[in-house]
Amino acid sequence: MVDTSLYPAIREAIKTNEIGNASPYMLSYARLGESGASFGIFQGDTHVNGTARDVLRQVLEAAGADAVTVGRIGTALNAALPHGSPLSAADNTLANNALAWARGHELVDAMDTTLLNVVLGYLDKCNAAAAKKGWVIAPVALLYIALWVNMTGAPDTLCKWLGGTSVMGLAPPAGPTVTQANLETYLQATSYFHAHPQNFKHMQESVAAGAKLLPAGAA
Amino acid sequence: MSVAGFVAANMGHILSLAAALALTGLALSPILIFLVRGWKIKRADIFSCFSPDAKVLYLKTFLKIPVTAANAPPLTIEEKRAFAETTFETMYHERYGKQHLLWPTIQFAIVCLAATFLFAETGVTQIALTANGQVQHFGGLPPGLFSFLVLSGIPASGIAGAYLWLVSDLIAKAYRLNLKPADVLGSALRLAMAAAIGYGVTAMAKDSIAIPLAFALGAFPLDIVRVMVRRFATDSLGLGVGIDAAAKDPITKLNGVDQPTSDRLLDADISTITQLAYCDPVQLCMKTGYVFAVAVDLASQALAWNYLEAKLDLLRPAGLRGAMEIWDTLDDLRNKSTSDDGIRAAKLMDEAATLAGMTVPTFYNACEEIADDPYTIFLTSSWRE
Repeated sequence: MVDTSLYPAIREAIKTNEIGNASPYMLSYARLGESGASFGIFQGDTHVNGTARDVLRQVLEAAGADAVTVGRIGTALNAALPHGSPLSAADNTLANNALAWARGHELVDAMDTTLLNVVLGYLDKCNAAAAKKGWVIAPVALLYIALWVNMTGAPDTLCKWLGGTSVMGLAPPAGPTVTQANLETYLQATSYFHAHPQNFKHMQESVAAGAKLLPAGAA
Repeated sequence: MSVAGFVAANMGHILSLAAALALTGLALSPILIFLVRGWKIKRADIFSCFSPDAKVLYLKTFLKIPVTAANAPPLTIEEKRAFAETTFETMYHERYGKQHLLWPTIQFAIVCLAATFLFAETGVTQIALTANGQVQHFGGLPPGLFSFLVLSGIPASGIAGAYLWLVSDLIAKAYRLNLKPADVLGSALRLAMAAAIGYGVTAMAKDSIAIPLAFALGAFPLDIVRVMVRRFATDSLGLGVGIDAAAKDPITKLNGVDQPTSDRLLDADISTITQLAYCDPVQLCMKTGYVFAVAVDLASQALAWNYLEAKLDLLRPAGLRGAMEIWDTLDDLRNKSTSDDGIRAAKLMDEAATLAGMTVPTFYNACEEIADDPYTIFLTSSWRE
């Protein structure tokens, strides 16, 4: 199990990676591909994520919006939105205010916690893979892994590497501690960061933001 | 009717001519059926695979025909498409039009008529002019029209064997939509030389099997006969010019290419994977008779093989079958970095690099070279339409 004292750092790293300094309690629009509107630290997407649509409906209902308004906003946001918000100024304000209210915070945080648990589950798998070799993963390295698995899902290839197998032509870490440098080497060896090296700098900045919240001595 | 009466009435020649016409008509049937039906199907297969934009790309990539002439004002997209449509249509009819079958068909008809007439005359003498089981001697019959052109056993068997194989081959090719002018011309040559080949090759055999051997030889196309004669000459004369029949055709390393497929590619002058990678897929279709989708898949595999060689076998189960699939994956990775497609592509590339035993930078570079090749871009463009 991931040490609970690391949760705030993981949360902060993911938040910085996803939305920077913006508030998670407002709608944002990536304007890319199939993306619709999104909110929360994990940027639940109203077009591709049914949970995000349900949470937004609950938030609007909790804020007292009538069924017609909830349906109208829900329908408008359940689509790819390459041109940004399809909502009227009034609907946009209503939705953002609903997300910003206390009950809105609660519902969005609950959604984020659910998604964080998925990430934590993947971190457990990585810890277990390293533990088979008698290795431990340094907290900062875990932050990198958290951001990576949040983006790519199940860490099958990474677990092989942490378990001592060469992948992508890259030798496994030497151990006994899987360090920040090891993870940076691994991630930079992936096709994703080979194709988008500029994104790696952003990941480093996000990890640095999260690392500030690591318990003393863990950073 | 007596033998003398039969001959005097010219019945033998008339019968022979009728038989020759019937046999020639039968031999021409697959060609005519292909001209009426098969050619249209083939044309529809090619044209349905090309959108106007794919035609623009085809003309530019394979024929080096610029859609906009130098120093001319740039054309609109619609003008480019219209130009490509017209040029493609003209090119297709000039290169692969029905007219190319006309002269070979005439030549084949002439040869076929002559060969089958000779065979029929020989047959008539065997069937009609016998008395008490003996062939009549013609020395006592009047000369001129009453003379019959009788072949001996070996050339007659050679012609019969060649006719049987050629017609069945023409039928098969016509129904496979793979009948080329060269096939018809080759058939004419094979039939014209059937008697000579029969004599030539059976001279190497015992007399007792000469006639059946001459017939059986008809089942071999000219290429095989050529190999047999070369091998015989090499062995018996000790020339030391061996024929490396055991050499493995490298094209068979590609998925879905067996020896018959390789032979058809060889007929189209393609003997290496590199030649296949950079061949004109329309020409490949026309020369091999494969549908366009197969030609495109073969070229796609060949393009990827040029860089990855046997590693391609390891990547195929992961979905990277050839250049088009690599293009698709790389396109997702490069242009959809934040979407599920982009992430999936990134993970697939990582897996593929691991499967190939290559580092990501090396593998990625190979994939970029494959994907950015103009030939891959053309294949992808035509495939996605």
